[in-house]
Formats: sequence, C-alpha cells, structure tokens
Amino acid sequence: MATKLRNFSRNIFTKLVACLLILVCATAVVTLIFSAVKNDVNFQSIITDDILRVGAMGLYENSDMIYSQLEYSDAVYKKDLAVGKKPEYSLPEILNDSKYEYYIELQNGMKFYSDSVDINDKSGLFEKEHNLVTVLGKNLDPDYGYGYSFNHKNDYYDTYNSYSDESSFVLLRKYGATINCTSYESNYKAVVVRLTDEAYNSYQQQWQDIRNSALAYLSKMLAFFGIALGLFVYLCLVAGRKSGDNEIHLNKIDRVYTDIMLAAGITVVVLIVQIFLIELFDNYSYYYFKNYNSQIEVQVFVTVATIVAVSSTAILLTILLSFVRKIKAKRFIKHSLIFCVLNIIYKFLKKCVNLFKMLFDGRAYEKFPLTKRLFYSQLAFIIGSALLVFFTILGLFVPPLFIVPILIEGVLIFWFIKGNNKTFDEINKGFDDSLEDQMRAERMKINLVTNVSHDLKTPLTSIIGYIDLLSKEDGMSESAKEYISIISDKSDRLKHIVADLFDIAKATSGELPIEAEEIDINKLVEQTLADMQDKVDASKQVIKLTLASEPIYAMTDGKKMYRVLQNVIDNAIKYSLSGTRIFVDVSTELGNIIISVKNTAAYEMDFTPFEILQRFNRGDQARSTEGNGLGLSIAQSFTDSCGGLFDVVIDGDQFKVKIILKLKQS
Amino acid sequence: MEFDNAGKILVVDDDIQIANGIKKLLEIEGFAVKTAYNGLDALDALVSDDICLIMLDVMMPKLDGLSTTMKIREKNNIPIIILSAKSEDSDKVLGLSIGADDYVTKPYNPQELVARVRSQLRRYIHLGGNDKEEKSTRHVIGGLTLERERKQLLVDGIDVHLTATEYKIVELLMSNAGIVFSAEKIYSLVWNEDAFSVENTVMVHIRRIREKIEINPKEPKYLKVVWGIGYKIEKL
Repeated sequence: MATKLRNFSRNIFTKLVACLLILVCATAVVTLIFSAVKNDVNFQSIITDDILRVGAMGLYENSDMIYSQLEYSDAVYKKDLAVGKKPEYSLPEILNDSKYEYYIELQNGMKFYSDSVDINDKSGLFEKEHNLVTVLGKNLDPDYGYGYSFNHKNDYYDTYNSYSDESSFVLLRKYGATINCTSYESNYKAVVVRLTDEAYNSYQQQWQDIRNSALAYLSKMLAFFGIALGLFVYLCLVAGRKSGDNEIHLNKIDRVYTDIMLAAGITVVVLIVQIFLIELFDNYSYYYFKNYNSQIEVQVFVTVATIVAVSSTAILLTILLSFVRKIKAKRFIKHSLIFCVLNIIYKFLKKCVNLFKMLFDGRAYEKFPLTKRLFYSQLAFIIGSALLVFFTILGLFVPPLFIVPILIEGVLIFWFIKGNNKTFDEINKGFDDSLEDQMRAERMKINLVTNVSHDLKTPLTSIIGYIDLLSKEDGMSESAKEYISIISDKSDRLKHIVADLFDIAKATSGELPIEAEEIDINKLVEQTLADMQDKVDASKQVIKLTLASEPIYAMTDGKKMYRVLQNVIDNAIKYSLSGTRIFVDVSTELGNIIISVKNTAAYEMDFTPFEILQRFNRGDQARSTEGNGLGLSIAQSFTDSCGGLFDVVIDGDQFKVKIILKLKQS
Repeated sequence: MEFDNAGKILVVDDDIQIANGIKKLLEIEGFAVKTAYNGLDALDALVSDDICLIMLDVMMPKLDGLSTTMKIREKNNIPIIILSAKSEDSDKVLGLSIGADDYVTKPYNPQELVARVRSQLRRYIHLGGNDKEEKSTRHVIGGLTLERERKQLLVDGIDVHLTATEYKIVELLMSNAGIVFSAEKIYSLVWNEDAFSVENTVMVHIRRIREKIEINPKEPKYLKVVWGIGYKIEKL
C-alpha cells in the first residue's frame, strides 16, 4: 500500500497535474486581483471593523466615500489643520446637522440637550440665556479669534494649540465624545457633540459591507494560495524522486548553473513586481483601469498581465523545483558558475602552491643521505645566488664594490660543482652496488626455478624408467600388467604437468626468453590447425576457420604463440559439446590483431573468466576429463610474455577466448 | 645382434637409480653397459674400457656434463648423448654446440632413448668416415643422407620409403638446409601449381615425413616448423 502510494506520488503524471493545478491557482489569484481592483475593493478595511478607528489608522486616504459624510471627524480637522488651513466647518453647522446630537453644559453644571435646544432659535430657553447663545456662537467661530484645538484626552488625537491654552476642543467620538469649548468669559463649560446612533449604525454598516467584500476576496485568494502552497510543498517532497528507487534524479534543466538560474528567478520576480505593484497600481494606471475598464485596451492589458503572471509563476516553479532537486542532491552550491570558477581558481592555486612546495620540499630526500645533500646544496646555491644578484644590483650604485658579490658567486659555483661531483660519484657507486644485488637476487630466482624443476624431474625420471623396466618383466599376472600400465599413464601425465608448471613459473617470473620475429598470424593459425588435424578429426567437433583477407604480421615469438593457440584450441575441443562447431577467427581492428576461438561448452559454466584463468582450475569441477588445468593459464602467461592480451568471455554456453596482438605496420 | 661387437655404452649420472635404470633398459635391448656417477669417473672409464657411446647427465658433482663433453671432444669423436633435466631450447643449443650429438630431456621416454642410442651407434659404426665418395649426388645432414641418384633417403643408414612428393619436399629442404620455405612456396615448387590455401596439404605431408625420419615426431630434430612462417630442415 505504502509502495503503491509512493509510486503514485512519484509518478510523472501526478507531478504534472500538481504543476498544472498550481498554475490554475495562480491564474485564479491574478484574476481575483484584477476583479478586486475593478470592483474597487478596499483591502485596508480588513485591519479594523470599527468605522471610528478608520481615520486614526490613516485609512481614509484611499476611500473617500465615507469621509465625505464624516466631515466632522477629527481626521478631517486634522488634515485641514495640518496644512495650515482653518477648519472649513464651524460648530454651529454641526449642530444643525441631523446626524449629530449634542448637549451644552454650563459652568453651573446645567446641560441643554439638542432635542430641547434650538441653537438658532433666539426665543425660548436661549432667549433667556442670550448670553450663552452669543458666547456660543462667537466662541465657536474660528474667525472670532479663538482657535480649535484637540486636547490630548484620547489616544486617537494629537494635540493642537494654536491660539491659546485655554481654548480647546476635544472631539470625542461616540461613547461620550466631547467638544470642550472654553473661553475667558467661560459662562459654559462644554458643548458635547456625538453622532446619533442611526448615523453611526449606517456608517458602520457601509464600512462592514466594504470590509466583507474585501474579506471575501482575501479568503478566496488565501484559499487558492494555500492550495498552491500545499501542492508546492508536495512537489518539493517528490522532486527528484522516481518510483522504484531512492536515488535523486536530476533533470536536463538542472544542468543550468544555480546562479544563472537564480538570476533568471530574480528577473522574473522583479518583472512581476514591476507589472503588478508599480505599473498596475500607480495612480495613472489605477485610475485609467478603474475608470475606463470597459475599454478594449484594459481588457488586453488584463489578458497580457495574466499571461505574464501565470508564465512567470511557471518559470518560478521550475526554478524553485530545480533548486529543491539540487539541494536534495547536495549540488546546489557545487553546481553554480561562481563555485565552479572559484573551484578552478582554487585548484590552479593549489597546483601552484604544490609546485612551489615540490621545488623546495626536501622531505622526500630525508631517507637518502646522498640526494638529501644534493638537494640542500642546490637550495643553498639558489638562495645564495639570489642574494648575490641582489647585492650586485645594490653594488652597482657603489662602482668598485659590485665586484665583491661576483667573486663570492664564483666561489659559490666552485663549491657547488665540487660538492655535487663528489655526491654523483657516491651515487654511482651505490647504484652499481644495488644493481649487483638485484642481479644476484634475479639469478637466485632463476636458480630456484631451475633447481625445483630439476628436483621434480629427477625422481620422475627414475619412476618412468623403472616402470618401463617393470613392464618388460616376464611372468607377471594380467592384473599386475594392468596396474603397471595405469602407473605408466599417470606418470606420463605427471611429466606433462611438471613441464607445464615449469613453463608457467618461467613465464610469470619474467624469465621466459622471447625470440620475437615477424610472423604471419594467418599462417600461424593455419599451421597450428594443420598440426592438430588428427586431434580435430578424432573429436566430434568441426572447426570453422575465418582468416583475415591478407597476410597480417606481428612481431612475436612464433613458438610461444603456437603453444598458446594449441592450448586454446585443445581446450575448445576438450570441453565442447559433441557435434558443435568451434569458430576460429583472425581479424584486425585499430592496429590490433584479434584471434578469437569460440566454442559451445558441453556443461554449464558456473565460473567467471577470472576463475578459469587461475592455475589448476578446470571447466569441470569433477576433473574427470583429461588435462591438468594449466592450459589456459599457460596460454595467458605466454601471451603476456609475448606482449599480447589474453581475454576470456563467457556468455551463456558460449566460451570465447580472445587473443590480441599488436599489428606490425608494413 | 646388430651392435654385438661395438663395445660398451657408458651411462653417466650422479643419480644411481637413474644410471642403473638406463643400464638395465639398454641391457634388455642387448647392449653392454658401464655406469659412472660423475664426470671424472666417466673420463677414467673412457680410458679403461672400450666405450662406443656416452650418455651424460649435465648436473653432476666434481665435473659436470658439459665440461666432460668438452674434455672428451678434445681427442675423441664417439657419440655423446646428453641426458638432462634442463629442457630449455638454450640448454639444448648449448649442449649440441659444444660437441654433443643428441640432447634428451628428463624425464625421458625409454623407447625414444633406446631409439636415439641406436641411431647414434648406427651412424658411428656403420657410416663413420665413408661419406667422402660420390659427394655430388649425396647430401648429408646429421643422420639424414639423401641419395639423389637413387632418389632415396637414408636415416642413420636405413632406407626410409618416401612417396614421390615427400621425397621432393625433403630434397628441396635438404638442399636448402637452414632456409625457411612457406607452404605456398613448397607447394608451387613441388606440385608445380599455383598455391591457394595449401597449408593443410603441405602440413599433412610434413607430418608424414616426420613420422618416417624423426625418432620423436613431436620434438623433431630435422624437419622443423617455423611457426607463422614456414618449414625448414636444420643445418647441422
């Protein structure tokens, strides 16, 4: 089950589908963005759900819709005052607006509420309190000489104090907003103005609508983005994996150097930022887009921008996934152009350092006193000469003195040559001695082979001789005669083994004398086959011979190569399936002569070419057939000695021997 | 028997069993045999006894086989067969070049050894010295004598029966002793036909000739294959 899932998730089609889905999500997000711009969605509204906090958070700038109706909010005042203008509105006008309710608080603590007081009605209560109305009207008019200011009584407001410390307004919002109007006459304490609940609710409702629409867009975008992100994470996890193994596989695109890819990625990102954040949302495009969105140009712009955005997403996705694969394969840094260049520089420097070290590093000579002496005298000579050159140049400024370093250099050269010549003599002597030692060791080795061979052959000579005498004795029983004939056969075989062993020992110890002459390999093969004719006839195998079209010459030892061929063909005859063909081919290839002998084995070959070439190994483990297992081994040693190559190939039941010799160009 | 009055065969080997084995073998074949166990004894025996052939081992104490051979050759030309465990071509060439008549490697084949002894004796006793007449029609290489007039080949004095083609091949190779002939060349000269793919044909004849003239056809003394080049009869 797990494997099934893994195979599914690593399937190339699953990955492709994931990629396509990411692109669909990207398209959706881009489309949503354009739609949002077209529908004038205010995404900043998401920050707060309270209309009264909007101004304080600086959010009014992009949405004038509500603020045109919230003229008396502190924000408007703040804005106007900040640019040094007087407030456009005076308090009495607020007091006439039905959206506000207010009360006037007198010094004595009396409060007059808006539903009971008509500020312009000079009869009634205000007629009685004429003084108040006058003061109210006068003092609330900025032109009258007293300014408005905002006391620092609430977090939302800055302090403004332009005309006097005493006169100030504080406009608090709903929840008990107050405007403090004080003057030196101070008959009243405050005018408290607040939004009516209906007005507030209506504004709040409008704000909520704007905010909900933004939230809906945002949640959709986030959903698509989330899906894309999830798919991307999945792609990252399976990037570079294939079903069936646990290796990381790199794509063709991963051959692009990391930093080049990174540059491409940054370009794409910059392009997107340029198109979407700067071009699209700068004032001109924004208004153009907003106000002329029915025009064809706008639609073309939207289409092109969408295509650019989606294709950039595709490119970014490709680049990021390539990065992920490289990181997984631990090649992210290594496979960058900068790293490669640095690496080459590093290697070059290292080589330089090594070269320098090699020239002046005497450690290698520590063990050899003579060469050590040579090395250090050479070092001393070079350093001394360099110093003397330096002093000679210095001496040029003091004419008679520059002779001195030159004289010292002369002495130095004399000392250097004399010392070296002495060392050379000693080295030559040592070399002669060691050559002598080596020759002695070499002679001992040859003597060893000769002696062992002699020691083996001498008793064998007696055995064979006396068996022969024994067989000539009269009056022996039939069974005794049979036994003697068996011993005779076996001692003959022993004789061959000893001879073969001797050959191998000589060949492998490099003592086989090679008499190389120019011979025609075609002819050699023919002669060998002709020589073995009765053996071939006696067997049930057929030999198929293919020779090279013209004489091919090699400089080699004909006698040895005859032994090689004889052994190989003998081997083929011995171990072939009865009635099969043995193919002997002679051909040339790229300056080489190739002799190949192919046969079909009579048994299953459960050994490797290496094993069969080991001494005493035989094709049949039971060792029931004739042969001593040295044949191929001798053939190989002899071929090596003659400067050729001997190769065995086993392919099913096919046993193939390949002998490769250098072609002599005539 | 053929060699009844020929004298004794001296067998020299430091290995007593081998020496005695050979002695026994030769005695069965009807020869008189004396043994010696080193070179010095051999030289003494040569003086004290009537010796007609010496069989010498190479590696022996006191005086080795090669030195003994050289010593004997200073004043005597009786047949010497070297019998040695040293089987390299270079050993054989060395032995034959200092005066030995034949070189047999140990372990020897008893029948081959006897045949070689006979061959040497026949040449020494029956043919020794009378090869000076009819020089132009007679060609001698070692034990081979080519009688051109009678179109006969004598091996150690005994006529071997060669077919006409075989005789032509032997005649060609003997009169050009030491020169290597390729199969094509032999074919075109002997058969008088254009040679094409004749290696086998020639080789068959060579093998037949060998069986007739060589004691051990597998290690031919006269008619040799030069591998990869052709065939020749050695100049002895």
